[in-house]
Amino acid sequence: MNERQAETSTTPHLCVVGHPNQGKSSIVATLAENDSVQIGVESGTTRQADRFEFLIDRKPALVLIDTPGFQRPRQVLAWLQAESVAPGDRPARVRTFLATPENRQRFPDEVALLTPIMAGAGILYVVDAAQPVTTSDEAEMEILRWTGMPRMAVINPMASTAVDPVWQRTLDQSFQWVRTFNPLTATLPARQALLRAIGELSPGWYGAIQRLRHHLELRDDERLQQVSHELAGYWCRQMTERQALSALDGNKPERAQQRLIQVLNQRETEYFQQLQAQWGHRHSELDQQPEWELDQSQLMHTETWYLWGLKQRELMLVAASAGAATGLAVDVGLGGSALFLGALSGGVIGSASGWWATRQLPGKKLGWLPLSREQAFAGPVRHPNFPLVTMARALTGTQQLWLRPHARRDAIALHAAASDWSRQEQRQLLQWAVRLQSPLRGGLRASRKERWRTVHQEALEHWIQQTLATRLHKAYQDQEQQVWQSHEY
Amino acid sequence: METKPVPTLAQPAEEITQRALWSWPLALVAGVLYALASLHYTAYDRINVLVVWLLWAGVPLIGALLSIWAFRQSRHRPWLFRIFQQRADITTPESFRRVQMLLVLQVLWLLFGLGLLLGFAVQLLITDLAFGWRSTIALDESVLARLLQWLAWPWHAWWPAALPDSALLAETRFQRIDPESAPTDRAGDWWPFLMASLLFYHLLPRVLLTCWCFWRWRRLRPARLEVTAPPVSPVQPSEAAPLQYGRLSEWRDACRLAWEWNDPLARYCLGQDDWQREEQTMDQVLNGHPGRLYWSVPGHRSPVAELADRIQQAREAGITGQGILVRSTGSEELSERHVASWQAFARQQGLSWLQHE
Repeated sequence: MNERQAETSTTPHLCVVGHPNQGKSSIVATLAENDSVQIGVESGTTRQADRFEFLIDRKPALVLIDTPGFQRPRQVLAWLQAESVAPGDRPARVRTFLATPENRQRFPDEVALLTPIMAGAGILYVVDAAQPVTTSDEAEMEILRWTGMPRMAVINPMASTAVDPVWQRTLDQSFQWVRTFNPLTATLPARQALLRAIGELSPGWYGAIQRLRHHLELRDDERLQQVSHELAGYWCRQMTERQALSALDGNKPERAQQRLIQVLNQRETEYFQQLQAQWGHRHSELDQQPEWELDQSQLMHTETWYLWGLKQRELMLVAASAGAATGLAVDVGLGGSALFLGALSGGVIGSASGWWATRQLPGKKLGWLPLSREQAFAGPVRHPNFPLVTMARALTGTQQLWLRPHARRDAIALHAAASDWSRQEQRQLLQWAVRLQSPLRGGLRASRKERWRTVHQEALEHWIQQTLATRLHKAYQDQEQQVWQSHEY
Repeated sequence: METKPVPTLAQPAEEITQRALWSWPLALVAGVLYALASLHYTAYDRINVLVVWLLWAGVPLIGALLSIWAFRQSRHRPWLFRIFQQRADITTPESFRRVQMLLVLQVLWLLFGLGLLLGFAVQLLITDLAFGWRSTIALDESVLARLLQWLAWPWHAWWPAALPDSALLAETRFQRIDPESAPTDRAGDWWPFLMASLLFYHLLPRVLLTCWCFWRWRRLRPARLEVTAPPVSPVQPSEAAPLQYGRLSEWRDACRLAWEWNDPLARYCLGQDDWQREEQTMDQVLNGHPGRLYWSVPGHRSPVAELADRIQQAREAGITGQGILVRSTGSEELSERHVASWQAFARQQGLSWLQHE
């Protein structure tokens, strides 16, 4: 970004600077909601200035620049102070520093972090603030003051929450705002508070940052709707999953049961992986949850299939259609003089034949044509705890992923918290599960009243949305309390 | 860490919307074929203009009105997508997805209509089309004329030729048992009426529905908030020599220098003054010609290039043996992160990692 672009651009640019290993990249990862930001165990992981752009409908709203830390601040300050300059000329002195060719080799890290600043970017200075202020820290702050750009300090409580009071007074002298921000625990309210402070650094930034904050909230609302829809779909599929016993299983239902469990596990893993990918946790490992504990005695079911795998009603319809078509051919042959009685009677006879075939016992054949056959299935799981456990695991995991800051690098250990649902909610979930599984009972088709309909799915999605929203609201309230408390130094 | 491939949850709506791209040219071709089939007639016959009007304008208009009703009423997938719905998929789409599917349907119908228009235009250019009308109930021509005037109301002001007059009705009434009786002069003059009907009763409603669906889709579409990031390059493992360990007791004769903290046991404390004063202190250290020296550093700070510069300066002055001792300056324990940083630094600088026994 050159100077001309910076002057004409109203997009806030912010450089994240500080001493190495103060958590600059962690803060960027959490704000940008991207766990691909490299946060190494050792210091100096960031080698160059990396740009992260917040785009709303492809237009930039905020640009964050993650920089390598100061490596030679006292030397740079000595260079700047080598000539006496008036306070108003200090930014020009910094530009001279950047324009001097030998400084690119001698002070590459400082050149990398000061170049975007002197091109118009604001400053987000990150400190730990638990240990005393050193001369290097003072040199860093002085260099940043010389730039003359909008700047704020962020205290990242890496080791403890105790802030050295000298830091507070020191930072107040050099920065417009001082905020505390823990990238390992920050959720949306803390990020919004930090963004609000960034927006107030410069008058031209307020609108863009407000727009970004607004879209972050909108995005979360939409995300809640979308995840409720996906979670409902996932839960419905888990409730209706079943595995047919095939010839290869050789009358051993355990194999089909194993396959059922594998499919349930796989689907759950895929659900969470999908959320990970959608929410920027692409590089985090997922700790597997314990396998499903299914009551084996309630898993096996049989269903009767008729010709070509059709069910009773379907077979009657197909037979009626075939009969009607044959009768119609006869009508056409008679030139319509039969007044379509051929089609009508063909349909009736076909339907009756289909019904008769369905009354035969499994295994009976008409010549070589098998009339009906039984098919055994493992699943769907009808244990009364299964719907509750499935929903509890999905909801808790979803909540965990939602609230997880992107600066964290530990594996995501999904665990199902004991649900605190009321008896009414539990009963409602069970009723939904029964309704979903009703068409899968062998034999006759479920009646209209028993079938799963759109209104039930909408009710399920609404319940999921409300439950998630309540849990997230509580987590946000706790976070907001912490944000306010941390401001009271 | 490798990125895992992203599995997708079953989203038939999205799959169909993507698959619909191949069906667009198909819809266009279907429209052209439909036009050709509608305008086919034998030597002793005529194209029944009333039937063609029904097929090209009447039924599509009813279809458009039914679509409006379907938008308001149903929450299921549109009919085309239900055909492709997986049996096991019982979920209903979100509003945004549903409107997206409706948009695809409208676009397909629109393309069909454009194909129809194209086929008609081509036929008008390269063949002679003879239109006629007939009725078993023996409609009075004046009644039909009034009906046609009413149908042609949208365009009668700016395209008068597209309004069939009484003379046209009289001359083009056709009876199959007496095909010779109908004059042929004005047999082709129904085409403006059919063209205008196609435009106003078939294409225009579909265009309006498509625009409305598109507007709804834009409104319901989630706000596109995204964050771009630079490409991820893996952190390269350090190529420095392995860490050399040493015992502090073996370095008692070495010069102890503190860096960025006031170590009471250090002979000199560096990293705390301005650079010019520290240059003088460093000169003092080097003028003492220590055989070896080691750096006592605070564990809560991170190594920086300024320290590396001092280490290099000492090496260039002939001090070959240098070590590093990481200390906790307060009551808190050293963090793993900082220890790892200092160990990496020691490896890079070839320093001995000193430990208490």
